[in-house]
Amino acid sequence: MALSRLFLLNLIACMPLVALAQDAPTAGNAAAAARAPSASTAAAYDLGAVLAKRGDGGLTVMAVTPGGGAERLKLRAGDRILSINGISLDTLTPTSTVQQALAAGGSTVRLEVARGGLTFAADDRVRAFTQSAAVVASQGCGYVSNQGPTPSLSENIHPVAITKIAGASTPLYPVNRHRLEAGRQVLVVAEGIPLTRFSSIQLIQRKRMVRQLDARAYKVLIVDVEPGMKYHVGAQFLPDRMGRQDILDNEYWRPVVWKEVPEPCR
Amino acid sequence: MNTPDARLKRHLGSMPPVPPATDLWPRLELARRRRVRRLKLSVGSAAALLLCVALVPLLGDMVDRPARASLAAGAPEPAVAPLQVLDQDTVEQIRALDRALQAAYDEGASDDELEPIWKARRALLPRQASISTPITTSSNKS
Repeated sequence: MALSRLFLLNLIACMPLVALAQDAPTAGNAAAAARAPSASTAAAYDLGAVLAKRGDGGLTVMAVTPGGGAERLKLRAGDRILSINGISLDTLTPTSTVQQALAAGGSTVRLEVARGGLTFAADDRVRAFTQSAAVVASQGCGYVSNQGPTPSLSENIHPVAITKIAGASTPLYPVNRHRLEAGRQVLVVAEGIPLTRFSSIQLIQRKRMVRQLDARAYKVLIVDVEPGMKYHVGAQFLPDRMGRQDILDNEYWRPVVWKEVPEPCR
Repeated sequence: MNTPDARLKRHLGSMPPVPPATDLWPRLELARRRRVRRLKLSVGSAAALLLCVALVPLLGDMVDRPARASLAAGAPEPAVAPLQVLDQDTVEQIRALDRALQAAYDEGASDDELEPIWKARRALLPRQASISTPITTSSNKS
């Protein structure tokens, strides 16, 4: 996967700058919508935990979000939520099922939770799981882009491939820019630093690291997207972090926003 | 022709053969064994050196593997610090990461794909022994 991304990145770098005027088909927005419905929705519910299907019945709490409803209920990572308001959570689509279940209970929420062989119930008011209108309402949009010319070599900024936006995979074909809702957005990027920046030994070490880590070699970039702004992202090469262990630990680069320009977004 | 060389040859040819020294064959055998031993030693050293060169990356992988296995996704996140020790900006970043994680889980992302997001989340959270401490801040009470 990582190799294919790198290959794709090199391929893109070799391509002439074809005018790819279209935006990404709102991959990140779709994910955000799954988690936080649009402002037109009467109420949006958020359990305040990362949930995943992990074998046994119910959904496993992978992490508890600070300040969320799950934290109020004293849920812990590793707990299994078997049902919410009597609705079973044997599902592969946690977000939509949990939202439906939270909405089904009226003014209260009742969870059936399994922890270490014990099953217990937890109750709270539904308000604890309701997102505020300010969070749900759209606040405009902006763009991120990994296309176009990168700065001069002396600035050590190189291309990246954006693999995920807000948890959703980006298209495999190059797009000019990705449209994002304004606010804090999470990008996952893979570096596309030219091979010429590495010595032959360093290339071997980098290849070994990529083979070992695969998609784990990608890095997260959190961008505060302002409405009407476009953010150019890249990989900053760190020449002073080119020791053997630095390369094996994937510490020789970091994702950065290297340019912000105003760009109207609709 | 009766040159001095021819005479010398004839003279030497007429002499009886001299028997070799009695310890010649054992000495020759000893020398042969030494040569074979040196050859074996050289070949063994070269093979050991080649083996080491070949095994270093493999051993490196084996050493790295436990660390990677401990990061193997699928395991729920361990305990985190209470909310009180996190500043608001950090909390907002964690919420954004959690939204991304949930969207990725909904999409069926692999554990490898999720690891960078988990890593970023872990970097924001100072760990503590237990998460069981109830976390109550007035701003979170409805």
